Amino acid sequence: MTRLNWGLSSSTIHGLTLQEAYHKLDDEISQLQERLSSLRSLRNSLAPISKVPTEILSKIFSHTQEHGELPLYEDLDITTRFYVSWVCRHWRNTAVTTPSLWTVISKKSRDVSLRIDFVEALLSRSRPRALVVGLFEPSVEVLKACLPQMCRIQHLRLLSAPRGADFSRLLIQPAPLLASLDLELNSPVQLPFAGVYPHLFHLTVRDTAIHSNFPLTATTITNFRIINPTQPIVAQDLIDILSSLPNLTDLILEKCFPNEVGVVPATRISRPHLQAVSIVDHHLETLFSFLELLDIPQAAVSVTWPEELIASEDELKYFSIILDHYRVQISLEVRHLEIKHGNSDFSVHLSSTPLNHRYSFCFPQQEFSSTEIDALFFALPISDLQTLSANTLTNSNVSEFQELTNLKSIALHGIAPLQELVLWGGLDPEEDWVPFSALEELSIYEVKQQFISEVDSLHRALSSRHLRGLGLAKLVIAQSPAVDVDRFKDIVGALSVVD
Amino acid sequence: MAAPATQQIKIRCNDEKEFTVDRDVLERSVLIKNMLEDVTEQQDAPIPLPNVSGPVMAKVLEYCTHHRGEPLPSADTEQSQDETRKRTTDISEWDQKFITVDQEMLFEIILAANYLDIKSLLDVGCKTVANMIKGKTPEEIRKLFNIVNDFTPEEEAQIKKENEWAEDR
Repeated sequence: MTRLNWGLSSSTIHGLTLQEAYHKLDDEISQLQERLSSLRSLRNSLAPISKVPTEILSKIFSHTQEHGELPLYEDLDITTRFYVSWVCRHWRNTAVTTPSLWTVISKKSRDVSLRIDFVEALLSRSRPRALVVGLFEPSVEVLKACLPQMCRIQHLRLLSAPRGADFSRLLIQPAPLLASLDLELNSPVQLPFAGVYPHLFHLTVRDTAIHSNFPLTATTITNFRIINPTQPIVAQDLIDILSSLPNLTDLILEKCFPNEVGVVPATRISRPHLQAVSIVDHHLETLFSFLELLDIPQAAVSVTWPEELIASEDELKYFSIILDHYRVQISLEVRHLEIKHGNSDFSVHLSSTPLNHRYSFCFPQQEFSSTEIDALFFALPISDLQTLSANTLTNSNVSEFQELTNLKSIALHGIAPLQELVLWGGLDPEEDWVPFSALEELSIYEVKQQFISEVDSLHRALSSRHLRGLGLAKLVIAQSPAVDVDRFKDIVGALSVVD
Repeated sequence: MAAPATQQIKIRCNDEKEFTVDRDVLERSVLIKNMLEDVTEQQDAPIPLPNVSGPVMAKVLEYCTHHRGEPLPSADTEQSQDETRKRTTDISEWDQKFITVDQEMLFEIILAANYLDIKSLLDVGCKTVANMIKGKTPEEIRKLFNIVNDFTPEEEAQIKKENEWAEDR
């Protein structure tokens, strides 16, 4: 290594022109900086991590970029690759020559830009690895840069085409590695599946007119997801889809159904490979017709209500039919259902209600009329109800509660439900039948002094149950200081008092 | 009926430390497995392992003993994983506890796994380091691994440009 002249002084530049002096000093500075950098590199070489050879450091970097079989575009890590390449010279050299670090080309929203020089750097550094490309409203030049790379793209998501351009030029390119495609098409495009995408197994189309893309023939596709098509899916569309995707195992339909059923073909479609149908919709009548079309006895159909919605009485009826018909196959996950009935509304919370398990039920703040309770019990398999939580229960149809044979837990808020509960006979010692025969846990909240006589009734009822061998495993009395809790000790398995 | 006796193999590390180990445990290492397959006659002399020290080998053997009997990853699996990057950075609970060591030992284990050709152990080591890196800024990474910024001003200028890419993304 060249020895540097550390003894620089004004004599070093004596006799030089100003430009020559600048030049000489810049040279010296540059050499010093290079020397400093070398010394720091030498110091870095002593760090324990520097013992690992470059190919292992490269492997470590690759591990920072892993994703599942299908990439979750929103969660892809696009920062670590930069950070590791900015640590030191050795890491940088290793990082820029590790193609798997640079395979994700991502523009997650309209608010971020994606510079063409960056895209070109990514395409160059990632070569020859397969690419994950997820672009929201990409510029025309970015699309052009990606065009010749379709042969390398393994996962592609294209949302919201830029003005004056569409995705069709990109989509007609042969993509031998393409495994998943997630598209939002603003104009009808005939997707060229056969031969062009020989390995495509996962297809998502969103905000797109489905009928314009079918029939397609894609024997490789096993997962198909349709989200919010620009025109609702009718029965014939469904037949077209299932006819053209013979090896489909998973079908996900989100907000796809029309308000009205329309003409339903008489022929049912058998799809033995179909293992799961997941539906997010609330047009129940159509949904029922759709399910009727499918001959999928072994399939696990899951229905998810979209966020909050209002269902008509008719829809509630279909809800009931679907529940009845598919009580083994369907698992329902209704987060919130608001049922419109006559002049009053009431809400039902059904949280995670797989029908082959028992479900739970929460009456909200409003009071229910007996008609409403009737409608509700018509819709829901009440014998499956396992837990009941109620703020208010009045004026209800007692006979329905005789069917609550699987109810294991009741939580009652305020005295009114407690009155009703005793009134209904479930806990009345004078009654011969015990509708709550499976009841294991009872929680009562906020019982005020003026209703303490109801607590006496409850005590009598529980004593009676105890004598009949149906004693509660647990009684919770919460926020009810007026209640003498000790008297319940001998008639329940466990007593819990919450202030 | 008594189980057939497992063959015991002797190995010698670079610090002269010797281990006598069941053959199936040692065969987690493709290097040693190939060496043993090449030897036709019973040998009493220990197998020399000049690139591994005794303490590191003890840790490697702890790993191999725990995972004995598990199927070894085939070359095909490894290649397809490399192509699709389907692997995950999840590490089993036992492996996590096992690999909770100081940095010096961690990198020695990685080196030993690489030398002995124990792919699963190499993966555990690399994933552990990858997890240490993820979510950290360059300065935090430097601090973690006792590295200093050795970029020249020209290199810094290039990084500054990339910084704009990262901000833009």
